[in-house]
Amino acid sequence: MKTRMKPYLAIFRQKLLSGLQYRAGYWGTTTTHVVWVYMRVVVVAIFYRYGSGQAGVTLSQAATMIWLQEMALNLMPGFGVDFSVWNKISKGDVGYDLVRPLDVYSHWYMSALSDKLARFLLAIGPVVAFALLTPGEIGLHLSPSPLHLLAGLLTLATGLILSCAVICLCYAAQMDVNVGDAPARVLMIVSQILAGSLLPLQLWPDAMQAFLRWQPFAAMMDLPLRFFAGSAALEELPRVLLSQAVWGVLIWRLGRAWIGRSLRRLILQGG
Amino acid sequence: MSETFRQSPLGLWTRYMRIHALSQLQYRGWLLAMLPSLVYVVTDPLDAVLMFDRFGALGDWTASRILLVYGLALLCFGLAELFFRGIDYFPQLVRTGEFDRLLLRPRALLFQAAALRFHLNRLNRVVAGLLLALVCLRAEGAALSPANAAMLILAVIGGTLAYAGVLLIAAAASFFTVGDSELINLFTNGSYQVAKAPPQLLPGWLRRAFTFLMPMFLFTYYPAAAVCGWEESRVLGWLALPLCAAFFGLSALLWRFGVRHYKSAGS
Repeated sequence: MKTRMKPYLAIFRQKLLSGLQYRAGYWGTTTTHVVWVYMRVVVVAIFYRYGSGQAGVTLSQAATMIWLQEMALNLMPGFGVDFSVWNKISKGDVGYDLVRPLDVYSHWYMSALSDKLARFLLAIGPVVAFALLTPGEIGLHLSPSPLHLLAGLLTLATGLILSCAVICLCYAAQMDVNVGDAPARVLMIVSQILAGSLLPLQLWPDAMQAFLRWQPFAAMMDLPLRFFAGSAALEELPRVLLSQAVWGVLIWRLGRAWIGRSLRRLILQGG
Repeated sequence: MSETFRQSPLGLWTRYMRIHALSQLQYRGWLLAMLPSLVYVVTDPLDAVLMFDRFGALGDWTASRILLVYGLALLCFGLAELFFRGIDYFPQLVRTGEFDRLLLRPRALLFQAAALRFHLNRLNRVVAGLLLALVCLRAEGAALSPANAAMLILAVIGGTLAYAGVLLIAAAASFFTVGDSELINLFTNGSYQVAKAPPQLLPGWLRRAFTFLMPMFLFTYYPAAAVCGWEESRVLGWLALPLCAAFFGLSALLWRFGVRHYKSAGS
């Protein structure tokens, strides 16, 4: 087991270090994200304060979910996605990956996982600090109980397994030359939105809630964040895990089969 | 086309754009390739629409009012990106030393830099912003007299210059720092996130930042208010172009200052 994991651990280490390398760039990015998410929270708060309608979640819950999104988005497809695999496919360097003594799907999957995890870990500190410092209802609020916090952390971690399967599905779509890379990019945008990146899904129309809960992408981010904010009861936990498991296996198998099919047909140009 | 026109900055720039556009149309899949950016542009204002759906109007501010301001900002940013796309990539030019090649050519630098890139998919923002603004103007019952139409057109030109100015400032910064200037996103894509709420209800510093520092509300809100009769002074609507042009002028000066301090890294 230890020797089998070794190459993947090396990939993770390298991603983490390269993220830390440009410190000026790191702080620039972090500042941008903090101000950006602050602007989003302010806009949502204005609707809560001056609008007349009702929402199923309180402003402080919504604000907490939006702040946490800014970190959790690092775990989603599309957000600063690892372009090395995209480039490999379009430039033909994919050949190098084929001759490595590693399974291609597992290699890309673990590489995506490392990249996402490294970005997430680098984003947590400053964003949480700033969010906790933001006063009033629009700041980040602590989870209602330690159990909520644990449930949130657990489902966010299991959600990452699903999210990386979606990323690999995007790679698969990119590899299929008949389709081009437009469908993969559209899939990324749509999966982000349905994971709640534009607006926490509980603020979407009530009539859509049942659909929003069960579609695959909610389980990557929105459903886990509900535990942190306390906008979902702990009894929801098994349902979220079930959704993640079912969709995870389905999308994982689909991506694997699709990449396998493209690899069998692959023709590498060059000498 | 006369030879003097072809050699003038504007003529040169038109030729660049034509070549870029033609080369992108060569790919059979060009229409499909525009799809992702279209999906992105169309879904971006969805959160404002959903919030209005849930919470109703904010006093006088209906969805069509917000989306008019948003649409104008989107249109201006789209135009700036369409015509000044090269400036967006300028930091790369400096980092790789490619800027040297531009300096060698006996033609206006700013035009060369702006025309270096052109992406057809940036049309998505322009078309979406224009349609959104027109639909909302109708919904607001705006009287499109010649004077009003002229004010809006001048404001859009001003807005385009203002966004181009923001891109230029980022380009100028690249002469002095190697770090990626992601902060600039706050004043480009970030600016129309702020437009999703009424300026009067925003925190004071945020409203002032997007009026005086980056004049987004100046070229969107005030002209729209003047045209639709939202109880704002009409004079402010006419001020959009001169003030935005001044902003562009200042950023061009900053860029020139950067060019003077350029030290090539190449051999």
